[in-house]
Amino acid sequence: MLGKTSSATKVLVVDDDAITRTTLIKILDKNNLLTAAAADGKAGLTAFFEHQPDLILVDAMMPVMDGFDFIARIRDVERSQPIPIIMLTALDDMESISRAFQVGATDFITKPINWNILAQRLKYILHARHTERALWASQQKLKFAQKLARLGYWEWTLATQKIEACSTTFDLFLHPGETIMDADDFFNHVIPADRGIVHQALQRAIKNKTELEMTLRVLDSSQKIHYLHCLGEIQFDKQDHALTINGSVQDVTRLHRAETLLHFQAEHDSLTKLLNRNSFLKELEKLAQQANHHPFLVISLDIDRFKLINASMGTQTADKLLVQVAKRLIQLHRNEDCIARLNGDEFAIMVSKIDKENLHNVLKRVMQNLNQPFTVDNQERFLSFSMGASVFGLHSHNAEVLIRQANIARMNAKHLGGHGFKVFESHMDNLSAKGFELENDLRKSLSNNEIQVYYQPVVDAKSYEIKGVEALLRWHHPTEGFISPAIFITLAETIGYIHELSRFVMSQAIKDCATWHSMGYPITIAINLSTRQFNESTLIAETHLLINEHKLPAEYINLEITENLAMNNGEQTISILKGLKALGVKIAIDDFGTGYSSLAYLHRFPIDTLKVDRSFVRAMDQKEGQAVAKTIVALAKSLDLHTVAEGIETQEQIDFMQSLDCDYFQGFIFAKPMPYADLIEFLKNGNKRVKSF
Amino acid sequence: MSTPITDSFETLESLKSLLDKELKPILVSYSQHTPKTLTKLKRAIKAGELEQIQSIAHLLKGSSSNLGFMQFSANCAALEQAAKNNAEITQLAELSEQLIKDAESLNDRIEQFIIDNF
Repeated sequence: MLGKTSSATKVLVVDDDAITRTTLIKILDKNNLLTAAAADGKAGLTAFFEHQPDLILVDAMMPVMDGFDFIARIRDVERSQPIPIIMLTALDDMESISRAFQVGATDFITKPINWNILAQRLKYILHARHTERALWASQQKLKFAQKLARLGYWEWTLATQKIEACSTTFDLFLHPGETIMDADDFFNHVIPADRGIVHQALQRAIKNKTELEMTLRVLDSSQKIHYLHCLGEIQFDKQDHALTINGSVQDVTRLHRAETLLHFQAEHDSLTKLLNRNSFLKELEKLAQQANHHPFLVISLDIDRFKLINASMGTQTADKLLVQVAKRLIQLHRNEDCIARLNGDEFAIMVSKIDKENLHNVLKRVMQNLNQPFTVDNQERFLSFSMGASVFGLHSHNAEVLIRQANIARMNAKHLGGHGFKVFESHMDNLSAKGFELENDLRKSLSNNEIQVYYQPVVDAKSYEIKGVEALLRWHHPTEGFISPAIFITLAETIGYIHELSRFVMSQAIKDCATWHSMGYPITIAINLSTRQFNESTLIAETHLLINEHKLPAEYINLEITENLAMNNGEQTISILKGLKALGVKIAIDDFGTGYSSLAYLHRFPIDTLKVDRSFVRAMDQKEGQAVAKTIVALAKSLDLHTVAEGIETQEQIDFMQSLDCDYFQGFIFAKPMPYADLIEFLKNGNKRVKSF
Repeated sequence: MSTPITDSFETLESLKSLLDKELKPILVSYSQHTPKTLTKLKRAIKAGELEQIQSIAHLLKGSSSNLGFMQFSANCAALEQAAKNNAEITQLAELSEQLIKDAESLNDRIEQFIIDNF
């Protein structure tokens, strides 16, 4: 049927199912068709550009990019007439079939594929295509001419209320085949809301002796709205009575859509569809002008340690999380409130008509709501937020200032460790200026020798002998004194300085530990790995280098990663951990119990130690705290892991953890973190001091 | 539940007449792929990864139906649907156990088909 053309006809097969793909290719081969293949939509696009096929067979559901997306993208980039794209769908999947047509599929073939007629079917489509192509070429010339005259013309005689027009005009107003109509009937497909416009525009144009200009919406039989733009010129008699109007009409639906979209995009955040910063500011300004009697509240909030989340989950998942947060905020809001995404993970809410008395209740309600877990990719995630608020009238009358104050209050909440809210207070202004200075100071802290590694002893739970130390960073700021690690580590993560800090602590701690060994104290050294550091491809090599340089036996090094870091991207984590283990170092999971470990997964991690988070140790006076601690220690025993209880401060905690057979303790009751020199003293006095705590 | 797979090999016969010797590598590949895929499925069920279960079942469903193993494909579809509906892991495990059994008997018959025809 195809004659000469068949030898040069190429078919692209896009299917993730290797069996079906291969079978298709072989069948096409047998029928003298050239072929190209791809295993997902994205690879399919590349193949499309490379091979310029004459026909595409594409599966609906595929990883990376599905068939619908694939078709839509091809239709997007096509310049001339469309290439036939046949979608493979399950027989009973009506939804896929209709979606396929919506995105621009030419036809569909149902699965299971009828192999006997497949080739004939494709050849038929290709043949039709060939004929169509010839027709298309001749039509193109005609179309071009029509395009120039794409306007409809009409004449409206006011005395008789008759409208005469060309066929294009009647087509556009959904009266095909008419040549003259009563004005009332002529506009009867215009949506009711717009019918008044006709009368108004006409009156205004007659009164002001201007052009008649109006855009009317008509509803077609498939319930689609078309935007018709009408322009008219009125003819008057000598007494200034309007006689007739001559005008044009044009379908501007596409233009209108584009404008609306542009408008929406300019005002909204593309990811969450919330207002963006600019339009939020405009809304506040509008409200500020009429808010004399109704103070309103501006809340600024962001996710604690979002950079870390972003780095460990990947941008795509983090984006999904942001969308979930936006949805949660939308659920919370009342009609008159508005919500915006200011930037990254920063959101803002305007709550109208607020009283000073219920201010804290409103903030609490928002906070409680956000503390509920978010579900992304079938996984529950708990997030913590920092929130700041300012009140119109109370703090400022200026919209921009209000946003800034709410932001400052939020940063204040963040500096206090996050997971909380603050209402703006005037003294915070100074603090925020300090925040910027702090950032700069932090960047210079290492070169100014202001960062020191402190060591907190870890003791045997039975003998209280020092078994090792954990390396902790301390920053002694020249004017501010000691800055809490909760603040500067978070800051370092935010400004990307964490890598320098992590490297510093790693090399210093290994070097110091090697010195203690040479002095006759064979203790272990625990070092926390940051997410960034953990994902560096150079981590294993650098660790190896440090071990060799300082001649510290690797088994004395405990590298600690947090539970969340371990569980996110588990497979990759396992392979990195295996690499580290190959050096001989030990691995501990820090803050255990605070994340969302899949216990079934845990046994696959090549780890040696679980550290029970201090929050459970602290909650040990309650049944829940005891239960969690019990479970964690039992779990560790069953997996043959050591346990360390962190944050031990009281005798009761010691007694309880001993009863569980926990292996090691760490806490103020034994020893606080201390600088290198003090630790040496401590080691010299050694067991006596620890035993007599 | 445990009716043996009685899928007809009509489609394979058609493919045989269309492709002749070319069919053999497809069948070999199918019978090698399926056990590997089922191992992945087991792992996904163990880990409770519903999305993964769904996509594995979907893939198996497609390749099997196109080779005409309709009953096996329908069982894959049932698993896919169950995973989509967040069914209990025990139910998913049951369905996949059935698939594994079915696949074994199907594979035996495919091997026989290969011996008989090539």
